[in-house]
Amino acid sequence: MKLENYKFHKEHTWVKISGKSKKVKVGITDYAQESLGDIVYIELPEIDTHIDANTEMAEIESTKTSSPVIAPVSGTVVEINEELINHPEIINDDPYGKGWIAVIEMEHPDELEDLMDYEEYEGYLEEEA
Amino acid sequence: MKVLVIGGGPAGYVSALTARRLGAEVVLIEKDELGGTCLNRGCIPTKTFIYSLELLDKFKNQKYSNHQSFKISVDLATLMQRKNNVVETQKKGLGMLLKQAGINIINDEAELINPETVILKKSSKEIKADRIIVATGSRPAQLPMLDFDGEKILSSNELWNLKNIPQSITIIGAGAIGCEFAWIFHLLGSKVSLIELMPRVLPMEDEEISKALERLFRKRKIDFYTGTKIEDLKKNHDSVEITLSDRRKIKSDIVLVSVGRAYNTELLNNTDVRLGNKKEIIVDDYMQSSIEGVYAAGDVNGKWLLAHVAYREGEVAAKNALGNREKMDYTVIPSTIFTVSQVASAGLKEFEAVQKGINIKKASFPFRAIGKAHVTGEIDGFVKVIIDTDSDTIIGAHIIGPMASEIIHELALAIKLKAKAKQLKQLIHSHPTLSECIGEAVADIHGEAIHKLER
Repeated sequence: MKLENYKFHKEHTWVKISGKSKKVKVGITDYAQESLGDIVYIELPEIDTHIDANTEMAEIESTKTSSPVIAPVSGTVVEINEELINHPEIINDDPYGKGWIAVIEMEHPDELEDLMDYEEYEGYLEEEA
Repeated sequence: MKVLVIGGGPAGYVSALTARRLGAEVVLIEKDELGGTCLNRGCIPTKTFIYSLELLDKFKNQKYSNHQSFKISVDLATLMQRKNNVVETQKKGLGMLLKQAGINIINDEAELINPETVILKKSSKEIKADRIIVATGSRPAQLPMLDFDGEKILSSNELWNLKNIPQSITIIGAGAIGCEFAWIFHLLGSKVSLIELMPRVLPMEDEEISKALERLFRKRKIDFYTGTKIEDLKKNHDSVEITLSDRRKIKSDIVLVSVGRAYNTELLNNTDVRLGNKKEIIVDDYMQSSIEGVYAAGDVNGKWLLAHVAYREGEVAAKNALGNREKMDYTVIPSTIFTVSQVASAGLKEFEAVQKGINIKKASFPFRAIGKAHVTGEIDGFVKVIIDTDSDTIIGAHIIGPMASEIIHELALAIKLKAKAKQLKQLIHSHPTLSECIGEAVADIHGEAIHKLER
């Protein structure tokens, strides 16, 4: 899988960067969806709310557990993936694509430097295991 | 000894039966129907509706069966019929119980003229007694600008006269009654909006329970507006338009006002029985009012407004009226609310325990980690247990989830008997049951839950 424009947070969330735009898509990683199991509900953030990096921005319920989604960057929620309201299972099917959660307009783009690239994240997962 | 009981609801009929058992001659005066609010307009009718409607809701859910070959719809007349049947059966049973006990039931309205005498409105007769137990209950409270008109602005009493299911309903007050009717009307197919002055729905419950319920409301697309006041209410020809303090507008066919209860104490207007500022009868620990020989049990004393508390108060009032000296014990009172998910609690809420300065520890366990929840298909919710860390005793329990109203009693008993988390954890919980969730929550207090997924 090509995940060149993606950056990863240790709480298993990702940021997709497009060019120089301050607006980034965020979602959860394949590892996260796999460990959650079948996702049955997501409590999405509200548009226009401000969120801080490393804090809870959404909550996902699966058939086994419920878990907070930790924001990888700080900023304002400018878009949410409304498809997920009725079809949260999209996150299981396509966590890096159609299963995106929200678009955040970053407040401190330099926070991206604290995140891992895909290779580093893979290494991190191995360490964790 | 002659005892006169005024009111045939839960507090009244239990005090009548208790007084009779203790050998008194008992007269029970009821102006309307035996069973009171609970049986005629409250607990029993709402739960009958909810039970039928939840069955329908499950039928409609593809998860349980593929029902595309037949059509399911809600029929209000059928629901009302079933509700009436249940109420009548109970009422007949209650009538028999009282008759067998040898209680003289008079259908009339009483007014107290002195501590030993009532006058009956219809027959103008006077009845004298050695002791009087007032159990006249409560009624829906009105808001100043929201007079019940029986058509568009309704109380929980008048809802039972509805002939058609409204397309939309706004419910003012998200306490137990408001949240139960929100669920009922949602299941009937109405668009529901709930308005609450306090910052959360079920403001009297534990905060985590309110938060979980709000999420369930969102899942079900039941709108709620918390921490908001009503600025204006306009009645149109076929709808009501409410403007909230933040200028948002809500339009609906009808409005239910469920903002609390008013106490039926007008019968005491010509006596010196002391009333509180909400016109409730002030009683001591023995259920006696400020006047010797006059007792008050149930809603009318303004304490708990729960049928099961009324039962016990009625019993205690009757015993004390007949010369015993028993204190009313309110230490562990389970309460249950039947809404999108059942909500049940016993003992202290977390904020109460913190206010009391108790050194607490809490644990919650989700139903979705329990096999039985998947069997029934109802996986939302959790069991929350609060303990006093100094003694390991369980002091509070809060459940939101399937069958919460039934399974709470294990925890209520644990609190009542001052059981320790370690002791309850030792109890083997039968499998597969929802009660396993209690076993796991209690085990989790000491980090010993088995089915807990680390996140």
